[in-house]
Amino acid sequence: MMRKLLLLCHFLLFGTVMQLAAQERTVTGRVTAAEDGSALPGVNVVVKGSSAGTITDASGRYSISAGDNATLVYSFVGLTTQEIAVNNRSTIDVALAADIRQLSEVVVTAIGLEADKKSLGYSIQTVNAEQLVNARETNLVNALSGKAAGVQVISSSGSPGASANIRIRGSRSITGGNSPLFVVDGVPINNDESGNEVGGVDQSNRMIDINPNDVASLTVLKGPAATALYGVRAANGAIVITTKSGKLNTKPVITYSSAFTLDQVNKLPELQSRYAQGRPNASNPNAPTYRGPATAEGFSWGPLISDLEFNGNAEYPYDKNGNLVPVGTGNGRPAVAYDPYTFFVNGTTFDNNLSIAGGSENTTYFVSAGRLSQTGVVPTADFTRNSFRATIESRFSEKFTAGASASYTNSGGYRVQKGSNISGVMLGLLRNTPTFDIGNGKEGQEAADSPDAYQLPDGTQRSYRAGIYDSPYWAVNKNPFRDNVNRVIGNISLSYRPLSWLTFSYKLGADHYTDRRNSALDINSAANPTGQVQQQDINSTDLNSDLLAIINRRLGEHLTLDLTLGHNYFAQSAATNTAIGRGLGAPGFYDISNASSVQATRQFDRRRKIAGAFGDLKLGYREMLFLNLSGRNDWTSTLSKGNNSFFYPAVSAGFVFTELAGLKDNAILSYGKLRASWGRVGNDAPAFSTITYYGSIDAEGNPVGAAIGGDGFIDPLVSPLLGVSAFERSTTRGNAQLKPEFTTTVEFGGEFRFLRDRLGVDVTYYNSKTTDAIIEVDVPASTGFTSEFRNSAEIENKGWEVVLNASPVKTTNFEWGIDVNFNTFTNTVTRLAEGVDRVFLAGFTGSSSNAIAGQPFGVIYGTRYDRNDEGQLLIGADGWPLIASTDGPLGNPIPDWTAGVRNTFSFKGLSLSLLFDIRRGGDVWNGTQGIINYFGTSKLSADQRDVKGYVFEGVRESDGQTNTTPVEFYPSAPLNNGSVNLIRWTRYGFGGLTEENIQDGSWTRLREATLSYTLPGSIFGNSKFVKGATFTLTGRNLLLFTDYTGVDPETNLTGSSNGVGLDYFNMPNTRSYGAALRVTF
Amino acid sequence: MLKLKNICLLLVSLCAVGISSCDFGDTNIDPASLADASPKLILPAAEAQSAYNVGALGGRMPGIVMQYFAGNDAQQLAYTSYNIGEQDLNNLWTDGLYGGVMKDCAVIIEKAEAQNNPYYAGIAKVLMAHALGMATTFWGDVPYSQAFSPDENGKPAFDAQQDVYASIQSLLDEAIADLSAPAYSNPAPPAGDDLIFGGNVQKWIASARSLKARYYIHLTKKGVANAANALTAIRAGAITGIAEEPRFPFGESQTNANPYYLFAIQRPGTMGIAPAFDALLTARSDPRKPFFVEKGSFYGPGTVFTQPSSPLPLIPYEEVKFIEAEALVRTSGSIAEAEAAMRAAIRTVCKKQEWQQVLQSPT
Repeated sequence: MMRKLLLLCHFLLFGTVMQLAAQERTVTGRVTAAEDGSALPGVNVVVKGSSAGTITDASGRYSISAGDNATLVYSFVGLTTQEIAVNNRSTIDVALAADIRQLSEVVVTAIGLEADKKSLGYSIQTVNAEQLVNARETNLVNALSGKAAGVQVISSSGSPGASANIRIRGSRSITGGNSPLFVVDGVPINNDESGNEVGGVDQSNRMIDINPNDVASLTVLKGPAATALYGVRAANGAIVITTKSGKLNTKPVITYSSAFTLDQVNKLPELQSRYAQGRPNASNPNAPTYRGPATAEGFSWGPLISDLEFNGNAEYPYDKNGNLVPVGTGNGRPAVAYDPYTFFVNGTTFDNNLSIAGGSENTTYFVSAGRLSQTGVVPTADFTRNSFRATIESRFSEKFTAGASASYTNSGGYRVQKGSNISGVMLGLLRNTPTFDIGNGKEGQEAADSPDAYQLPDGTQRSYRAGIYDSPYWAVNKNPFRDNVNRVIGNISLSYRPLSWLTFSYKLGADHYTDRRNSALDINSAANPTGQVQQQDINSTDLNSDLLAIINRRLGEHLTLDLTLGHNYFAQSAATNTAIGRGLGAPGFYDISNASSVQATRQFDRRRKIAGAFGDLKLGYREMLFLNLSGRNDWTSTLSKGNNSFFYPAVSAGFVFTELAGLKDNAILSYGKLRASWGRVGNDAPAFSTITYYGSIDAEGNPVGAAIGGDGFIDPLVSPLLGVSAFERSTTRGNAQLKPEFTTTVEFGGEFRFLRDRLGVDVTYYNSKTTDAIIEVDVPASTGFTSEFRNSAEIENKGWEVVLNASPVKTTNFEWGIDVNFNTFTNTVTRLAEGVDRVFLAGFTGSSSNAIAGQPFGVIYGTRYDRNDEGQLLIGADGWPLIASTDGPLGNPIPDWTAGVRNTFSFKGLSLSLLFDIRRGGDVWNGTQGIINYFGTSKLSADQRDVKGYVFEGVRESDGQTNTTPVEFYPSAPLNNGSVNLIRWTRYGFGGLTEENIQDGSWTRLREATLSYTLPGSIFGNSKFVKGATFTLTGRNLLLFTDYTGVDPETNLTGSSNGVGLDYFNMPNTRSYGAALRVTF
Repeated sequence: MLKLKNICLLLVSLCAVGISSCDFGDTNIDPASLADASPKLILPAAEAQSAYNVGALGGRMPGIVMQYFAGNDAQQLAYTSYNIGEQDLNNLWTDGLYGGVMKDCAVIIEKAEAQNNPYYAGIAKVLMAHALGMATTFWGDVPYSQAFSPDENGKPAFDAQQDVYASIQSLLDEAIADLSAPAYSNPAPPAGDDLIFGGNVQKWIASARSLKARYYIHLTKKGVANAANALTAIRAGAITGIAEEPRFPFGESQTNANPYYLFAIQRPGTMGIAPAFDALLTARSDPRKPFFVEKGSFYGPGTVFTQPSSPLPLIPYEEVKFIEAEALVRTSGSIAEAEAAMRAAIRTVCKKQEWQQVLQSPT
């Protein structure tokens, strides 16, 4: 390695000496930009017809030797090339103008290196920063939806501050993360998310701390050829973001923008309003009995509401009108079916931003401040983000530049309980029976603010089930969750350019945040009637250091060389301190001091150090053929000493065949490029997996001494046990032989532009294979361990990405543009490990998202009907289908294809942009539907309640003949013996079989609609104050077409975990209408 | 030119700097976890898990099947209709038994035998036998002889139930031998870490013999010799009173409480007393009825199931007495003695302190 480097140095030395021989005249000068006169460093100045050339320095000056009659060629990416004859002059100053056609092709690639998109041999896509802001999403990750082919974003819900799950080209790792690396200004930053489980609240992923208004450009790097330079952290692709900065020699530009949106719930499951609380009656089987809230009845299998009336009892705490009694025995006032959806309110979002950018002759600066405050569609839910940023770059001399950037964000909110959680809002709301008014005469925010809606005079809950599930109004008031994040991200950079073709640059970045979370369950809450408080502090620090040596050189007239060598050091550490107190003394006081027993734990979530060395070589021939070789070697702390070094190579090539003599300047095909690349990246092991520890993890996921469990219904006991410390050997076996997992990707693509750029198509095919994937393998518990980390799985991803840009109409004043991002892929787990059939990713014991050999990644697995080999249902003697004795794979959460179609119409200053987001395929387990059917609160269970004489299509298990036995969905005598277990929706267990509730999650939605008007410059012409203004009307999620019967199918119970496709009382999504104004001073 | 040479040297030395930063020290050792533990630290966990298993899933599920309890809601209701799914008992097997108490006992036995600590080995063998007995009662053929050595047996074979019962008896015999060793042969005998008996080996020996009797009496269909063996074990010196019961002293807080209490608090309204059982207690005027049922409900404040600190014995005194009575009858022994044993059982039970507490607590 050392020797090769020395050889390279000598070669370069030799080359320079050779060129110095032929000199006649020295020409000097300065190259500036035509638009503003600023200096242009890095411009290529070449003597035409020879190999002599140089590059302008930091102040745009150059010095070159040329013949008196020679011609100098000045070229730079993004600017129109100029050829100027020397004509015996010694000083030639040149002004280069922007080449509009090429301007959009400068992209930021890995490690912050800029490149001309034309020269890249792999697929890369940029997202317009303006579109990110107009999406009006709080979470930057959500704003990426539908804007880049191959990028799939699933938001977990519409709750304020909710997280979003992002995947580029599917999932590659089972135990590792599958989120791409997020890089801001060359520094990888943290996109953690912790605490998103089947219950609890919707936690944020940390990219929510970045203000979308600060983003100047965003590039998506999809495959290993693009990300190999990031090493072990970018096996899943990378999103490279550059924030705004100032420009040299510019007066300060002040921009103020203010946006307001109104949010509403966009979709909810359909509930019934015909049947009352109650259940079948053993003594009178044909007339189900009404049983009111005082009986804590959970079911709504009672009599018709129209058969009941009130009795005017003023003492009855559950309804102002009195108890419900059969018609004829009360006061004649008919019973009412209440609508629980009056619980939802309109949410609002205010987003204000102010920024100042400018620069003097040697220094540029950018300062911004922003505040976003959002309230949710659930009363009391909110999220706020305050962000501040300052970036300065200064040139101290011709050779030396330094910069510093820092941002501070404070974010957090008040979050509501979700999911499988008897204190969860949706659970209490959807299981609520129609004869119970959760608001006690009030609705929405008004009810949330009145304790008599959710609390009885004696302090216990007023809910349809006497407090067994929390009333949603109780949950939002008495089960608070608050988080407060303080985050600082900063970097300093230095750049030293001793020679025109050699630059050294160093960048040191740090990302530190503290997340303080306080949550509580007040006394009389369903999940813990004695009350509970949890205080949690998460501290995380990431440090990244990059040292680069960059060489840009022309070798001869036709060959360009760009070589980068670098060293990277990355250290990451995060720890969580948790204190849980149980048994509160004073109600409403949510502090640890109020608890009768306290348990405190500390856990190290992450500790990792990586050191890497890398090199990247780009060769370009005649602007036509490009070759890129890169390699990186990483050493990681998470694997044992002998196994912790690994090498990632990548090679890519591009051929712009329209540069060939015969094809140049073709009227039909104006640009054509073929690309091919191959790359290999890896992922290391989770921290601390190489040895076996003594200790366990408790129900909250905190490490404890011993955890005495073995029961899925109640909490385990935890050490200290009755004042004595206890430890148990962990059931996860450490593995010192772990090696890294590798993903190898082959990618082919082409980019074509037709009819003078009126139509552009970019097609990519990729095939990716991950081997030695680390999985936590379940081992038989009889070995004394229940799991072990092993390298053994194999995962395959392959797919197509197509990006299409067209301008069907383009006149002076009016333009219509179409942009389409289309993507289809398959993501299969080809192998797990010997003897391992299934790895649980997320979910419940009965219904879960898993990795199963031969099945799509994240396949939904659970209980199902019994079928014969032909796939026909097996029916029992009573006419009901039988349950299979083993569970099986049932649904594929990966879509068949997705597309984002954007139509933009611009007329003078007015612009209308519509983004349709389409997904076909992608199954979702609608666990919510199963439960509301079980309890009899769903519309389906009411519509089908009286079905009689129904014959299930299938064969009889006894003799294989076609089934002809009819059944009744709500059995009447003599079948009805008063048991509630015989109804169509209750007989298959709690929530029915998983198979019954797998639904197609296809959708078509109008994700964004933006109408903006930019006031013409002439209005402000001479104004010294206001220089420009844009007014925008925005709509988000305005239309949704789907057959899914639950909340918005773009939902995920477990946030950005590796498991997907589960909906179990997930919070609903929202649609928004808004307006924004941006003024420039 | 000189400058260029310097630059090359700089590049090269940068590489050297890079390669040297590869020794990460103890970054990959979790500072919040223990890398090794002595039997003294593991024993309390093994004891707690044994008792928890008796009262958690391992108590409720058979209770529903035996119609002592009946589900009212959610999954418990499904179990009452015998709708018990493939995964529903996983937790008991994986976290309660094999991955729980049995793993702990295997680790204690291995360490205790290496360190010559017969008392720890003995207690762990008693707990292992108890857990193995629970496993075979639920599932029949279960792994044991090949279990707990992952390097040799990655997939331990299932022993025939007959062999499992033989293993249980030999474990208990070994335990009695270990616990009969003189005290001075232990470098550090169990004391405060033994939450059940505080280190009293005589009581452990009595419990071991009681367990022997229980596992013999299970096999009476295989021959009356088993009933005789059960009687022999009891006569050799089993539990003779409440004070000798191996009971785990649960605490008052939710992190330490009796699993029946935890279920009452965390899953309220989902399970109650079975109407058939309730009727039976009333019909026979069973004196234990007020301890089990309160106001017609399982979970009234005044039952043994809703006291957080109700201790759960691994084998209660009354069971030993019932076994004695059955063994006497089967071996054609004295009927009067059998009757006396049964009466003693019922009378003593009602005198248990925690049951008395139930009567005194406000309703």
